[in-house]
Amino acid sequence: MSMRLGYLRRHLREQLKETNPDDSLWTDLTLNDFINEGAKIMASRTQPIDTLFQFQCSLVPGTTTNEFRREYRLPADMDEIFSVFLYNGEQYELRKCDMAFALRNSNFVGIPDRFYVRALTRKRIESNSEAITVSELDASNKQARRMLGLHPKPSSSFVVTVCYYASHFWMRNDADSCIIPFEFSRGVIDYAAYLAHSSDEMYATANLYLEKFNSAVEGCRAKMMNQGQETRFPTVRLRDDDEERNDDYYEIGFAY
Amino acid sequence: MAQPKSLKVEADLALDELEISDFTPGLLSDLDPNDIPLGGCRNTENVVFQPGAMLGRRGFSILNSLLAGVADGIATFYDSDGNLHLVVWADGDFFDVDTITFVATLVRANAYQAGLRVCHADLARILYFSDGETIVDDGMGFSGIRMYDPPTNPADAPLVVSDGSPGTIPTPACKVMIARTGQLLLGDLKYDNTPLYAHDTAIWTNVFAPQTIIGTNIVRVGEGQGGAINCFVFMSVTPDSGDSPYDAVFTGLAEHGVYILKGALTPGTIQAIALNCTAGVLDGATAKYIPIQSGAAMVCFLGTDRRVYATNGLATEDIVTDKISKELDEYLLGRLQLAPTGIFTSARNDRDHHYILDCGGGRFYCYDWMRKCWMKFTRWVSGYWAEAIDINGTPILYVTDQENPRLVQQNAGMFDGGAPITPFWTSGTIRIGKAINNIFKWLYLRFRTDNGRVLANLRVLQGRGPISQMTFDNLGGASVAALWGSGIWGSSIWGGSASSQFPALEQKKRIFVNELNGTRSKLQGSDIQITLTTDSAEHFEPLNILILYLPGGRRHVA
Repeated sequence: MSMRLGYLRRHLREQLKETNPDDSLWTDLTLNDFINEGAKIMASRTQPIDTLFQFQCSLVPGTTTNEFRREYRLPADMDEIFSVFLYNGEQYELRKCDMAFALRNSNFVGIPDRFYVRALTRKRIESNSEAITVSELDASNKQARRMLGLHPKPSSSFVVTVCYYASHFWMRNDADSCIIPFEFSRGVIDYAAYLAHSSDEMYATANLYLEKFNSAVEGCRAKMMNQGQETRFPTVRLRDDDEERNDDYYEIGFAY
Repeated sequence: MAQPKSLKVEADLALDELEISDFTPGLLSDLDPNDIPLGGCRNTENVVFQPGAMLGRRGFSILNSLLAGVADGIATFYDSDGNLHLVVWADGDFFDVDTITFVATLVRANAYQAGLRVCHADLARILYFSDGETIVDDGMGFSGIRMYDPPTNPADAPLVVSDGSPGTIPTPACKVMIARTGQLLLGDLKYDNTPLYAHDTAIWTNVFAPQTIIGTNIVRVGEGQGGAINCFVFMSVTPDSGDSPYDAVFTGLAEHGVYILKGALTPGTIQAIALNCTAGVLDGATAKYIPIQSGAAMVCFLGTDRRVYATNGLATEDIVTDKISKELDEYLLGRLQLAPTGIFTSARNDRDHHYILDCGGGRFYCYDWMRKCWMKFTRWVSGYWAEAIDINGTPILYVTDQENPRLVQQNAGMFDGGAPITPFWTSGTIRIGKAINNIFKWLYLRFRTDNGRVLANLRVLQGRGPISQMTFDNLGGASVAALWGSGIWGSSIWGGSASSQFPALEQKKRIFVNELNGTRSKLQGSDIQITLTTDSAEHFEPLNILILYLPGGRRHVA
């Protein structure tokens, strides 16, 4: 279950006390922007969306044999990579390394066992036997992207699987669903309300909503971390701090 | 204890308010927009001001659009049977207009010279009239005045011919006429058919004997200076000293000087006393008797200096300076340049307590003598006016159109001859506190309407900045409801439904500016100008304006 864009905006308008879009300082389009910004920031800070991206190593344009690309463009919704796997008859996980390490040894060609990630960039780096060459990522598209580099440079068309946390997608239609866990979705409303009140220069009120947003983020982060710990260590269950401070809990615990 | 303004508070509490609930300062276009007091306006059209409300004026309805020509006069009077008659002079002919069907019946062809203004007075329930020029002999002798007495002679308006008593003169023509103490007082005379004018002279008839005019019963007004007499208005004068009130005839001269004629209409008794006023009367038809609350009376008139004066017979006061004198002067000057002999008329609207100055061309300035404020009306019909009362006692205003051969009833209905009235009101530039950058957030409007709407328009930067526009609708429609509710106590019920009106509505709208790129922005500034209008032909009655704004210095606590 999740909150949809139309639902989020309607409740945001109630918070702003401007329920009629025709008589409001903010158009629906503007509030959609605020909601999407809140969803993206919340998703980035809590990382509730894990997903996969898979590609096959490809040849450098103009070459025919064994000149496979070192760097590959990652999806636009990439927020943070947490694992990269390569399949070469069997699946194994690549280790993360520094880009400088890879480029220092740029002539190496073989089965990659390391990867690096370059932050937002518009350049692609390739290497050949003589030098490092730099080319525009996409001359017609000025959007910066993250790049995944492999080391050593692939010698074949291996299949690479990238596991990453996605940023929140841009919700355009009222029926688009917010992927933030339901119980924290109101944090998105709070952030949008913060932006709206800020744009109205009511900073004290805006700050109240920012505090509520931060509180929702912390709650969501705790839940995500909890889920991660439980996934990795199924026998472990974190106890809530508040739960531990509850005297009744101890009393019952001791009695038990 | 007052909340310190530096503390963080609920947003609503951080906002300050600007409230306008009284619009009776009226039109004050003489003032710099920044100096107009709250409730006053820099411009308005077709709005009437009442305590706690502004109201779209009434319209006009066309009663007869087939008159013989553009009229040169109109009058109402009661005949000796007590019946109301509405008469019109048009194209040289004289008509009696039915007050129900408004069909004009010819009474006398060639009763006057077409194009000349007709003056008239009713004495002993007989109407007398003259155009000031036409002196003819119908076989009984020369005369410049005709009479109309429907019960005795419904099909003609015969001449008032002198009875030839010793000392009498042939009945002259006159440009000004009034009845007083059973006598007709005639001014701006033409004595006989060979032009012999006495423009500054008044002459009177014997008591209840209009056909008897003694040649020596004259008085000259202005001592040979000041030009022609162009108006007589009967008035009462109440001296400040405690002396008894006395009646007098306000008399205006066309070049300069205004007088009262005081004392009995006998030679040596009647006196022409000059009033302290440098101007004369620009057009005699603008002089109008106005009752005022103190029990005395005043006469309002348009001066030759294009200002409006009011006099109580003792002192004369300019009532347009510092209010509307500049725009009035400019408009009248334009009219005079267009037509130097253009007419300016007036009427007294007893229903609304308005002195209506008809400046021609569909422009009217109305003075509310109760609230001492001015209004501006447009698109009414300019022309000659006649006041009457219907069978229910409701005042009626008839007007003959100055430009078209038609008769209309003014100040009636919701339309201007079928077209919407389009009232509007624009405030002055209202300075908001000492902050430079206030954010205007909400506009609350209390108003009355049936199915209409009010359009509001807010503008900053001395009325030249961005505009915020909003519409206040009464989507459900409203029917007239009792003015008061009722209360029940035991078996008794209090309250009534005798008086009714549209219920008051209150709506709020967010104030914002639509940008060209489709987004919206705040309306910010140190001053604000408010315009209210409507695009509907329905009832328009704003009652109260409330603007909530965030003062520039409080944005961090809101």
